[in-house]
Amino acid sequence: MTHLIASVILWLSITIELAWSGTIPQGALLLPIACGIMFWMRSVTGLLLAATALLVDWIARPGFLPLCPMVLPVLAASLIRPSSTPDDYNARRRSTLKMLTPLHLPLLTLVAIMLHLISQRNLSDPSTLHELPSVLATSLPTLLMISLPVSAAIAMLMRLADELGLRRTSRHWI
Amino acid sequence: MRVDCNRHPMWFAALGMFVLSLLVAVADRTGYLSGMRPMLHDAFSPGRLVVLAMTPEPAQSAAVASATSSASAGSGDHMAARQLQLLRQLMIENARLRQDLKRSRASDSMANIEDPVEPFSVHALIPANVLSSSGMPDSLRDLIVSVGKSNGITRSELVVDGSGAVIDAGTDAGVAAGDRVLCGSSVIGRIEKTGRWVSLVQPVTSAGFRAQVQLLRASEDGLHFGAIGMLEGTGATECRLLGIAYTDAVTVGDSVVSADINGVRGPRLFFGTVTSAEFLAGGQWDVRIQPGFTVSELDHVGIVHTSVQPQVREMASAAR
Repeated sequence: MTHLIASVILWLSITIELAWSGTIPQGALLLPIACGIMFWMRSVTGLLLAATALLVDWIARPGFLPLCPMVLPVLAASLIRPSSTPDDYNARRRSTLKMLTPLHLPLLTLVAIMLHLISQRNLSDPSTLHELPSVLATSLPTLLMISLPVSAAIAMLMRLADELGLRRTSRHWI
Repeated sequence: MRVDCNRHPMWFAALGMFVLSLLVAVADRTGYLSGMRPMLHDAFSPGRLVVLAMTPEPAQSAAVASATSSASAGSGDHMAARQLQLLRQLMIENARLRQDLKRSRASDSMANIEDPVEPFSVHALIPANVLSSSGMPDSLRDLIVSVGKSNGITRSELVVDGSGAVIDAGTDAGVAAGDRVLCGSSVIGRIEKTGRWVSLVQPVTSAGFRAQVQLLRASEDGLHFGAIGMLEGTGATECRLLGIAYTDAVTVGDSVVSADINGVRGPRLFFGTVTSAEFLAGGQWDVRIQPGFTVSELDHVGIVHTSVQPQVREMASAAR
């Protein structure tokens, strides 16, 4: 059931972006939602679902390289804790690295947006690489204005679901 | 240790997606995905249309807002583009009037029977949004637009930029049957494939694109239509013009407009400007043309839809 809901949410976010393409920049909604699904499901299926949605979106609206579906699953695999162990919210037992756990989702979203902006440029042209910082500086705030609140909302929703026991840990990690 | 063992499937999945994405990127470069893209957009279209249907007002207000914001942001460029378009339109109209005057002086009756198909056909501009474009801004490969078979779009119809003049002007606008309606719109490409809700557009610069065009020259005496030739896409950023004999005059800066629309005389559409003209040994000119549209401004387009006049359709159905 979770898989179906996740698929529908991903499909809906792509359709909303397509419908409001004049208002919502490409990736502003899909990227935080895809990252959120990876972190919410904490499983191979979640990773594959989100990455497949990103790849399908790239096929529908291609750029230079599909950097998001290439790199994001690798980053997520290194950050996500297995679903067989619950997220640790105990402040007393936390190390400095563990304290950054709630920021993983917004950070991954930030990386995803940067990858998305880079992948929209023609990287084979050396002059594009020089222009990249200025392009990032101009386009990043527009995307972040939508993506970061969505990402923060998903992170808070995950915490709330954990507190209420709605996001159960499963024995299997598939 | 148990966690590390658990991570293996996730690492495998991530690496699998990495490889799959690379393969997809290669397939896109080799053109294997162009057929799949309209299918994907068709699959998203029900949701997209539902979202649009549920929120008509915000979409309209957003369009207005984006239009006003873009106007305020780049008002200088926008005004210049508008003026250029108006100038183009006036140039074409001037040339058309000059040619019409010449023709009417020669023979009124000949002018009437010159194109017997013309009164039976009617051209309409169907507006559409650009859903996606593949390729980089300097080398557009294809476009997906938000109209398809359900809007009556058929293959090989011309696609023009959305900021052009309205071409479906009727009697209210002083257009009588038999008049050629003029348009300053730039041709972007041609419908290559139609889905139910979306269509794939082949840009003028792609290797397979062909269209019959005519040169339009500005001289001291005014504007004149020149030689008719075949415009071909080169697969790069420019087009070439073939079939111009060595006896015809070609000058850098000449405008290139459509000679007809799929064999039917219709609105004169702007294709581009001659950037170089070299004489070939085979007795022809090698003419290079810079297309007249800017990829970055392609948000809205129009499809020039040719159909039979409603009266003719009624007569045909009555005869049956």
